[in-house]
Amino acid sequence: MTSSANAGKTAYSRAELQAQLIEIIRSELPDKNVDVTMNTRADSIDVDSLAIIQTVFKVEEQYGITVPVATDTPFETVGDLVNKLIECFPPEKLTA
Amino acid sequence: MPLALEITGRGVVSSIGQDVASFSRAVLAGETSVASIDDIVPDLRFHNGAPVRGFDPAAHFDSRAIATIDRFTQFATVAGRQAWAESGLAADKPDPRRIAVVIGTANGGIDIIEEGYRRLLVENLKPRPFTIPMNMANGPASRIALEIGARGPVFAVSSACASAAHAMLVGHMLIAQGLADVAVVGGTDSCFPVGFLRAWDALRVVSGDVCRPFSKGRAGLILGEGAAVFVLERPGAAAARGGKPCARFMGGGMTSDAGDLLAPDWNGMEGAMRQALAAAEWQPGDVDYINAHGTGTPANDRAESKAINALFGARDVQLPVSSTKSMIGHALGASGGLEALATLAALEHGILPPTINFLEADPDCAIDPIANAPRQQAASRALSNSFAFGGLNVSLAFARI
Repeated sequence: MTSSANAGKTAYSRAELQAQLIEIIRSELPDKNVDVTMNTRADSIDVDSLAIIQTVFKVEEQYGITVPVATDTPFETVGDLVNKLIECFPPEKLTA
Repeated sequence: MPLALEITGRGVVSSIGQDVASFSRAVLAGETSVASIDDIVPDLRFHNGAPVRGFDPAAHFDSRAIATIDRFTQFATVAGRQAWAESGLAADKPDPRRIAVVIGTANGGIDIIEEGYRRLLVENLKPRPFTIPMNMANGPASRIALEIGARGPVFAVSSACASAAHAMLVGHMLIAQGLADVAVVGGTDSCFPVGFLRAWDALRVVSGDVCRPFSKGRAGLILGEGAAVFVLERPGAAAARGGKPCARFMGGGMTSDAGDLLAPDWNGMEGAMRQALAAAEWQPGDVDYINAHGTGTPANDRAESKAINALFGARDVQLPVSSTKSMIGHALGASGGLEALATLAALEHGILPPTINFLEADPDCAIDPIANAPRQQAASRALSNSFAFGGLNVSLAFARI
């Protein structure tokens, strides 16, 4: 999974973070078999409070970052949430 | 007029059985589930307990649910599902606003709190994200309400070892007061986190060998855990949908000692039993069996025997009294529920469960303890006692159909 694939890694490209964060969100959904992309609408895949809180917790643990995103922040698409999460990465953890 | 509610559903998760049939069979056969807990923590003054072994959360909940409900809520939910299924109410679809859920717990979610402190102080990690809702004492009541769609009065009651019994009485009162037509009631507790066991060790009331209620040589209680849940309905409810109730719940009594924090007072115990008789409109001679609180501590059993003798002593024939804690340990906030279930089994099957591990009569406990072997004896009316640290006393009255 993400943590072992990232073992020893210190910086990520936007593209790989997008893919990894989408996978984390998908793994926390009530229906784990649903297709999720950046354009998937949040209300179409039942992203509940549990999924968001678990996602934020996992991201903080796996990447060693702090996510100051309120877990009741409204968002329209999965991409909105993913971009909010990526904004929480300090510059030294992002590659150009 | 007493309000004889029908018990239309029962469910249980316990050390001696994880469904009503296996629990009843084992308790009425005088079996024990008390065994070594050295694999959990080996260096305590006590080495035996009755944890629920072989309970696999993944067999009952998906991974998302497991991340939000602690072990005590898992126990109660599984017991609640059994009770709801037996009641037949799923097909009957009662008005959701008329369904109450009241589940007692002494401990709340102590497993997730212990894990949180271990992560924080030992592993230098954050507590899990759902630590707060997992710990809340109303977790079991809320989870059951969510699953069955109960939108009436839903809450927890907490009164240490009397929690389940208080919850059952509150359910009776909610229906009596017209606030609900269906009450899902009971108790649950998870009791084997290592820190919690060490705290019991510090209190020095746990027996170094087994639990011998009312016996000479008794040396304390043995910890157990689990959940028992019941569905209560108005008289005639089961027959209206072609079913049959398991027993009648006549109500009960509750008192407080307003005395010592830990030491029991026989007056409070006697008062609770006296109120239970009044609620059921029974005379002392009407009672066929008492499922005692019977912890196996010197003080409880002495005081409880004195209370029973004060109220029932004038009978021609000595009243049979047993403590099923000798077989399943003391499940704290669940104990009153598990013992109510044992009482229902006795009424239904005409067998009185024994007090096992009994060595020799104690002159301080002048009761008939049904020593060591079950007794074939029909019983129509029974009391089930629960007494708690903090000086709280409850006695529940049950009648055979």
